[in-house]
Amino acid sequence: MLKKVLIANRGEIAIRVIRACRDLGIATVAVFSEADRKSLHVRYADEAYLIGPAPARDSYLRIDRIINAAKKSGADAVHPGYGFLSERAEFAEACVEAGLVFIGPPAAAIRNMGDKVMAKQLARAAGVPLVPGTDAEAKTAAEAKSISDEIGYPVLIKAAAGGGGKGMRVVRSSDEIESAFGAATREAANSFGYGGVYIEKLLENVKHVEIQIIADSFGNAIHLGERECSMQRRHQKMLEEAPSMALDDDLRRRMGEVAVAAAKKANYVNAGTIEFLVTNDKKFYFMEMNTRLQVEHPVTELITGVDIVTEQLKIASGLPLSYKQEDIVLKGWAIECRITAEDPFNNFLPSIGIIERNVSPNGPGIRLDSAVFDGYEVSLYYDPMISKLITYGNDRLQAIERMQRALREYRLYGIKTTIPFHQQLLASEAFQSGEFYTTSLETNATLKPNQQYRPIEPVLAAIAGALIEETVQNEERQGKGVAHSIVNGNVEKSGWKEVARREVLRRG
Amino acid sequence: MIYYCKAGDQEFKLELITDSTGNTTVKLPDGREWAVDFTRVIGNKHYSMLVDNKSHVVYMNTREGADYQVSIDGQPYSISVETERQHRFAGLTQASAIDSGEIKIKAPMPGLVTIIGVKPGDQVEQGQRIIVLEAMKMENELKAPRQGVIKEIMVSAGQTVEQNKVLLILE
Repeated sequence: MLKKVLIANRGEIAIRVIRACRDLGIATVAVFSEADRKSLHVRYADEAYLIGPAPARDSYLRIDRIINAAKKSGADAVHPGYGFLSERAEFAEACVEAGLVFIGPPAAAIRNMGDKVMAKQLARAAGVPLVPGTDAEAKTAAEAKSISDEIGYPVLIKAAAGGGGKGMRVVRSSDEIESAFGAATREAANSFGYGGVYIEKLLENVKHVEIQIIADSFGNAIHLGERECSMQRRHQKMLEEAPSMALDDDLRRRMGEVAVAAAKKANYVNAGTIEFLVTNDKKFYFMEMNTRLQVEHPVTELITGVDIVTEQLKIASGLPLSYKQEDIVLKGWAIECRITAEDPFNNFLPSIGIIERNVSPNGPGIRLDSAVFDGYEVSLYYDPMISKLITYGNDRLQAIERMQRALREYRLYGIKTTIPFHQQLLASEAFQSGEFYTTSLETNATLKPNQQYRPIEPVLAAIAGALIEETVQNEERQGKGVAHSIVNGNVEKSGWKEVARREVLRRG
Repeated sequence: MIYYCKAGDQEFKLELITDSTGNTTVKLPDGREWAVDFTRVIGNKHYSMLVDNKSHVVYMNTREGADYQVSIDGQPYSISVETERQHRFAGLTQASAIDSGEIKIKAPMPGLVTIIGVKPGDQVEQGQRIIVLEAMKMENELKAPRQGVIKEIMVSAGQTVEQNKVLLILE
């Protein structure tokens, strides 16, 4: 078994991996940027090493500094988490060259499957159905335009490296190609260090369903069922569940078999995910393979009872899989909400600032994978996802009800979050009935963030406002002096002069 | 005390009456009234509010003059609160506000200006992309809120800007 693992990541996933290591008695090493000195992953780990300034390219993307930290700490393995370096073959190679176990697939498998163009060729060879498109990357905007004109609009421009919606654009007509191509290549270059993109036809009214697979180094591979990830905004998943209402036992078995076959074809080892598009008439198409742990892995853990990160650590330790395919039985239902620091009622603009108070939900069926705490600063340097709220129920209805309870209990004061929008989604007819697709958040008017969707009557808000004002004024009168500390000035407000005049009146 | 509270797009005139035993009642001109119990929980922002014994949690995020950003049972709300005196005064000042016809395009969040798609003097259409701001690794396109002419540009590509920084002026 591994003795000491360095986690080359931050946030909730770093903590998730630390927890799995601790369960197995493995020592943990955190790495952190200057912005993350106070982060939970630094405090939870047994050791922590500074690897550079706040921007990811100077810290969490610096292979040399991470390898140095691993050597210095005497770690014998590296877990990459998701994002950052997790799907960079050269990182896996650098680990191996430094005598470290990379907790993930071999570099060759990352290269084959991580590069989506090569992955498509491989999937085709394994007999997996593919979405119409080209295998080659589009090198210029002009080339992108001629490819798109040929397959027909709408098309999808996708980064060859990475995922998570970065470097991805939907294009509906040829005059949008140039600006979309530019934005996609720049985003891809900034996020993954590689700007290559390719183009495929956009299928509409489809569901995004993915199959989790795990494989050991003895050639055994199994799947852990599917996850439903269709609730996406700008190709960023907002809510996932397992199992998926779109699958029946037969489709699940067929997709699982194909996923396992593709993994074996790629000589895949460790945890991975094959993403498919599923149509209403139960056809499925290979989209891509993610050669790492997924953000949404907890929903699979809850319905299978398999601790995926623990399995990753065992596989990397050279042990065979703890399960055979027939051991995997799906039981109950799980839902995950990705809570991000974004304002759903203001076009999802990032909400930056201090989380003054973090009130976590609790009770039966609740799991919270979070990295935030009272006083945590949400900065603009990293992904806006701050936590994952996962609920489990005996059936879908119970999982939904528990999620609604948990969202009601969950409070992150001081910043704007997507919690109110998640409440709207959970209560929506579309989600409850299962009638939703990958584009629903953009096209279904009832799923647009709606401030009118709120159980709070305006008069109640008015009462709260009057009561706060009266409390503050009473305290000012009694000279308690608390009142002034709650005046949080904000910059460049148009009504400033007027406000100042009112302040004078108030004092008088 | 009488307060004028705007919540959402509705305005309410509320009277708060606390009797000699310390019990508070809120009254509306239309005759509706509620017994309220309002207390701080922790610190100076976190309150528990009972309205006719219905339980609500109130958190005040920010206060800017009369404008409050609050969370009620986790739902964000903008409220503006004025005393009777402030309300009368506000009525006088609002009439004198002059619309100059200029629009200041401000950064909706802190970020890095990556692309400026226009130069001073350019005629732009409504919805035209004028600036790209990168934050949290996502590109955010800022579009012209209406047609007009770019009067002045205050930033350059590659510059990091704070939230609410005026990026350019459209007239």
